[in-house]
Amino acid sequence: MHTRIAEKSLNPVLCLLVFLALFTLPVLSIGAQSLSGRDIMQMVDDRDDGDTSRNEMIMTLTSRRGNVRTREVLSYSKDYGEDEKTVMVFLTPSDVKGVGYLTWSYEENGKDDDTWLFMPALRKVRRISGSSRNDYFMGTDFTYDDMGDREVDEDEHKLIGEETVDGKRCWVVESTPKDPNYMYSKKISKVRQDISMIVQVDYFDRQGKLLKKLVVSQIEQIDGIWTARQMKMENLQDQHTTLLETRGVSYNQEVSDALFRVSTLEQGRIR
Amino acid sequence: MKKNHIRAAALAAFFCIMLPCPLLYAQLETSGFADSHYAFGTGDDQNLLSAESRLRSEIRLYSGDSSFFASVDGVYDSLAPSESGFTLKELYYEYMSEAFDLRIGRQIIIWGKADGLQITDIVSPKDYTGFVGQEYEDTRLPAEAVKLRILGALSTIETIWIPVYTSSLLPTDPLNPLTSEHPDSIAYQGSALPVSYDFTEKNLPKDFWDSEWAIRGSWYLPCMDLSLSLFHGWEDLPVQERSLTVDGSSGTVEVESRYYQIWMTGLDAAIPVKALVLRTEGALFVGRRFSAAEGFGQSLEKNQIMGLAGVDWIPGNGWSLTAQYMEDWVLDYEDAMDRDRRSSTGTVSISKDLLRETLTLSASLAMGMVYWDSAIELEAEWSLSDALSLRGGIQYYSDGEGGKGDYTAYDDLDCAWIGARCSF
Repeated sequence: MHTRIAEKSLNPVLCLLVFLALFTLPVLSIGAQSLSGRDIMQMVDDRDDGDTSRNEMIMTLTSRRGNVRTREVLSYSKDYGEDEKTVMVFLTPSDVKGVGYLTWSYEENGKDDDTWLFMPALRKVRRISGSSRNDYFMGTDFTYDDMGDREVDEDEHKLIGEETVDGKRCWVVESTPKDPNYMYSKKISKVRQDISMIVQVDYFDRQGKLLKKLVVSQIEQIDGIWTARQMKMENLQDQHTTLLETRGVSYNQEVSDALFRVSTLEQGRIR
Repeated sequence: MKKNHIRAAALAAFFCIMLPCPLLYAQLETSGFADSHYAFGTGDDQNLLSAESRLRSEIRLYSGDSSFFASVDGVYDSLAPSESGFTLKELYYEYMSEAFDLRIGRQIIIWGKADGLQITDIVSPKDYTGFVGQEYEDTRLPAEAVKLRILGALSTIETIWIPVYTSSLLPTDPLNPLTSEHPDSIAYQGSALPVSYDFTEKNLPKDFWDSEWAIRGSWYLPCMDLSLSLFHGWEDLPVQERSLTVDGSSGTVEVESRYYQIWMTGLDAAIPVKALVLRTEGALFVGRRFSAAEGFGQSLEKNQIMGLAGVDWIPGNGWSLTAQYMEDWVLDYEDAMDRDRRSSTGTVSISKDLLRETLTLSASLAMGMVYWDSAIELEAEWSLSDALSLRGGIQYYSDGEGGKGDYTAYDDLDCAWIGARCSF
């Protein structure tokens, strides 16, 4: 009859924001004496992610029954002043191989992102609209909001303590949404003090029960930018886990403007 | 069909000459799928209506900015064996740079913004032989073409030259329920007159001067996508002009398949508005031929306008919705034509992803809005793994007022179907 829109309405910029929000942070040396919870989360948000970036992301989804599914994604991004362009293409699995997204995102308030989807079977690009921020990304345990599409001031932040995680001192920050209808009642984040990087998050559902747990590991510096090579999100209620690994990461390398054109997306040769 | 095999062999030979040493190619990618479906009638005919298995193999060889691509379909149709066999779906050489790209060979070209409805999308011909569980792309046939695109930051200018004409594919196997019937007798002066048929082809495009060409400019802007297109070529299907010769107590129906050229100029656009994408597409066809009323007599040459407006909405939580409305008008209409002055079609499609996007439920409705004929499809697709998925659905057709309407032809094809696909 007619073709169902097969896109899962994901926005590649949001995917990249995983790295912006959680994987990449500048090296900072901060006196903690007068910091509030909001200050800490603002520091997490104010990071240098490079003018360009390239990364390959492998998402391994494990169900309660032990069934494993894998998604592999290659993405590039480039800053254009305050705006950013991102292109993302699926490398695996075979049924979505070659599917690509191009997003031009704008800093200007009220200006919506431009997003195009390319599906090899359709042999043409399709303009798509943005997704719901509470939707899960490609069947993983990460929502778009989890991956960084959330403003600092959408939550009230409170510094509730300090503790040591893997030998590193961390601030513990409780974040409560201002919107009472938000999918989480609160989040508790542990932020490494030496590099202002989130290393653990506990997510609580609207009934106040622990819903998900995020653990960030294998943190290293790449091209001068701190990067997490592994993130594990576990849904404790569904017994479902997503392991997100990165490889081939680089920052501030030469990236051609042509990579962020619709015609390049149609060519299907982003690699 | 035989002609197509000869053409495919000639193409393959050409590429073998152009590809003197495949080992020079630095990178090799292979992919494909195997799928199968079975459809059972749920209306008056409760037999097996369709049973088809398909193996698609794709191979791509890269070397720098050049690549070769080949896609082959092997199809086994147990109900219509004559429609089984191997098909060279695509075979082309491609050169890509930042300034332009060039593709030479057998390729599928899809235009337009419509979802499953054909307006400006007339470059590649269509395959009309299937009706079960088909995606729109499954209905497209390749064209032997040279496609050159000039690439800009916000625009693409695409020029296409099609030196070899390819017709759309109609079902001919008597076991295919879509195959047109040629009755042994027709009503003539109050009685049934037995007839025989004499099929001939006229004006078949076959030399250089019969080449088709097309040009399309596309602009991708922050506020909208816009394309303008122009096509000059041949209708994908010949017009059948039928005449009846009576000789005493019997008759002969002469069916001439005449090929005619057309011009098409079109426009399509997509405009994002918050969570919506508005889509529109329109075309003017100049010199289109339409059959005469009652199926006998010369065809009539008229101009035609088609237009569509649609919307995509993704509200979240796995839901997506599309709706479209299409109008089709014949200008300077005459009652002697075998169609109405105007036809209109509406479509609605809703889908929902469940179970971490491993299960997709969808419902689609297409309705003729003159005679209220309709096609309804309910479908479920369940991904058992990254490679294996099961599909199934129900298709229901209702005829229009007075037995008219495009979907009325499918009225006996209500069915339930199941299928599976393995990707590799």
